[in-house]
Amino acid sequence: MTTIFITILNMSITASIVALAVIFVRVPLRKAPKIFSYALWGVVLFRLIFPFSIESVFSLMPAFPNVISQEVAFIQNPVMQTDRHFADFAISTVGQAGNVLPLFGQESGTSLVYALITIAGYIWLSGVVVLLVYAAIGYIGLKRRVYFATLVRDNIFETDKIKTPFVLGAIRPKIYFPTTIDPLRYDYILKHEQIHIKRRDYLIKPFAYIVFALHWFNPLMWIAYFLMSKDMEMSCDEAVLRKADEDIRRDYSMSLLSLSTKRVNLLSPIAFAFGENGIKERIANVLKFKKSANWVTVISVIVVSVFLVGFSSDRVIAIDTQLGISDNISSNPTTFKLIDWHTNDHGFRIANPGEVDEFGRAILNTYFSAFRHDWGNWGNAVFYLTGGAFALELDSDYGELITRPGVVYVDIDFAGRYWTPPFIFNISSVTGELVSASYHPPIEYIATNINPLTPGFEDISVRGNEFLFEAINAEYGEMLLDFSVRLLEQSGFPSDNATSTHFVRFVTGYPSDSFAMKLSDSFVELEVNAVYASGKYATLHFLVTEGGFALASIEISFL
Amino acid sequence: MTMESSLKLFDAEYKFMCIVWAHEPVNSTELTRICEKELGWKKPTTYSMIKKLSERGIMKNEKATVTTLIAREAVQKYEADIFIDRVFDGSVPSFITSFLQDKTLSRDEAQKIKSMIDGVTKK
Repeated sequence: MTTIFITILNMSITASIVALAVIFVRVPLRKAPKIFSYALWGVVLFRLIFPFSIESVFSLMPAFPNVISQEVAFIQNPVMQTDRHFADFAISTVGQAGNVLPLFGQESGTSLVYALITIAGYIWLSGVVVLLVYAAIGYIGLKRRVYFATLVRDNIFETDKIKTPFVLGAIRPKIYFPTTIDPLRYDYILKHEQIHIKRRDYLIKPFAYIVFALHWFNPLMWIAYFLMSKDMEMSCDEAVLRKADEDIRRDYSMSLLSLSTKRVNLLSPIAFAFGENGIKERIANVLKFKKSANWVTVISVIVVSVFLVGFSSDRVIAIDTQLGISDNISSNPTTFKLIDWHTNDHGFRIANPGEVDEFGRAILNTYFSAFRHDWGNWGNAVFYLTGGAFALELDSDYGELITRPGVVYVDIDFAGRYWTPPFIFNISSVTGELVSASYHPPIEYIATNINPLTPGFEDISVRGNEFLFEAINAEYGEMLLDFSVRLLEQSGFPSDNATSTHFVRFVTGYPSDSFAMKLSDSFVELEVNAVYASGKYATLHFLVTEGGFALASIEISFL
Repeated sequence: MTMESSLKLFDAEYKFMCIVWAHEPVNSTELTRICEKELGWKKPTTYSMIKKLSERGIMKNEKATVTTLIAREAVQKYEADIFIDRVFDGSVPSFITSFLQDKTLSRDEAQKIKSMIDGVTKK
């Protein structure tokens, strides 16, 4: 839920930029046919629906999408961020301050920010529900009124229970006229409604309403919805006038005026009342209507095309040729350059140009290091990327590496208690070069089913982001347990993640789907650094057994 | 509900009644077919209209045969009364004056109207 809410917030911010741009571009376009202004809103809609977008060098967007990071919920002092390189920034800041990047196992789920975001998320959701229910009630009400409407001809119906003509219906839209208006006499009102149908406006408008309802907290989106509706009506008016053989501007505006006094709800998502939406401006628009000159059309087409291309795509983050690392792949834009992994303060930072490590090796684009040397037997892992080949050197069991074609997942582990967010290195399968590197925040999960199958395992629990499984069993004392792990379901993972074991690692560091472990100190712990991509889900099923005898089973769902 | 107010028919109800008046007694399935053609109604729409008007005592549907319980004239009279009441303050002469304005009647028509007036005149 929180994840969805943050995604919506980010889309809203992006769409606001586009909406402002539309409002700005509408000014020079005001003399042009309104169909062009109407088309521009398409980009806003697109931005409101798709959390991702196409990257292009033609983008006119400022380069700061995803202003609010998904990680915000997990960081005690969230950094609101105007730089795309969230992780870069956060990590370097933390590193420089000699501070500790909050370790995700530490009650991060209960932080104040997280709580506030959750509350805001629920408020948002109730707002959406209210707006949708409101629209549904309006729809049912209208549907009832026209239930007994009688056929005039084709898809035109009339009834004395309405006061203004409108279009209703999704699959086979019908035009409803009040009996006081003869649809055949008011030919252009009929044409207006027919153009709505032809343009599928009767689908676009409810759809837009639903989308804007999702962004109800953003006043700019209400303005956008209102202006879009107006552009839709005006361009429809213009189409009628354009098609008319004679000058009907006078008659047409009179009809608008006479119906305006009875208009239905202005923001109604459902009906296309003829006399709806900013009558005064529409009449002015009708009266000054001229069939536009070709050059106006040509210029408008150019402006709109540039706009559509420019604002549909995000800016490509320039490829840093020196480092050979471009923007990353994930939905969390956490581009890494080279990272020097200092474990004495649990910090991360980006290596400075020309910096050397303690062995005197230059930290260059072909070299990546992650090491820890001041804390007993913690791992010291050194990564090299040389000559187009990726090599990893591990001199400790605590470093953990899982490889996959094209993608290398690296996680550095400290006795299961503290662990770094997993790093993901994307290695080009063509050039063998490091294309991108990123790190992922921990994924929210819930333990859905904890079933002690044997007495003494009632206290099995799942804690924190480390997936620490604790099974206190004083009675049995030390015993050997088998953990078997099965992936029940998954969605959205890269197709090369064929086996479940790739998602699951245990504290011992053996990436195996079944392993034996000593139960001592009255608890077992099991660690899963399972899911490396946000916005995906998986359910893992753990079965704790001893000698083929099931002790407990746990199901974990990653959200 | 008094008999008077039950005669108030909405546009759709009146159109529907006209069909029934023209065909009654009519089989209800046949009626749905006619209404589909004439009014663009689906079967359930026709049936709910029959039900609605039956509950108001305007028609009945027995053994799948639909018949009306009130005459077309009664509805016309009701509407005319309301109209005269509202527009002409209930005054029949001013209604007729307005009605006859800019109109010429043939001798036959005039005779017919005269005998109608004679018929309702209090002796």
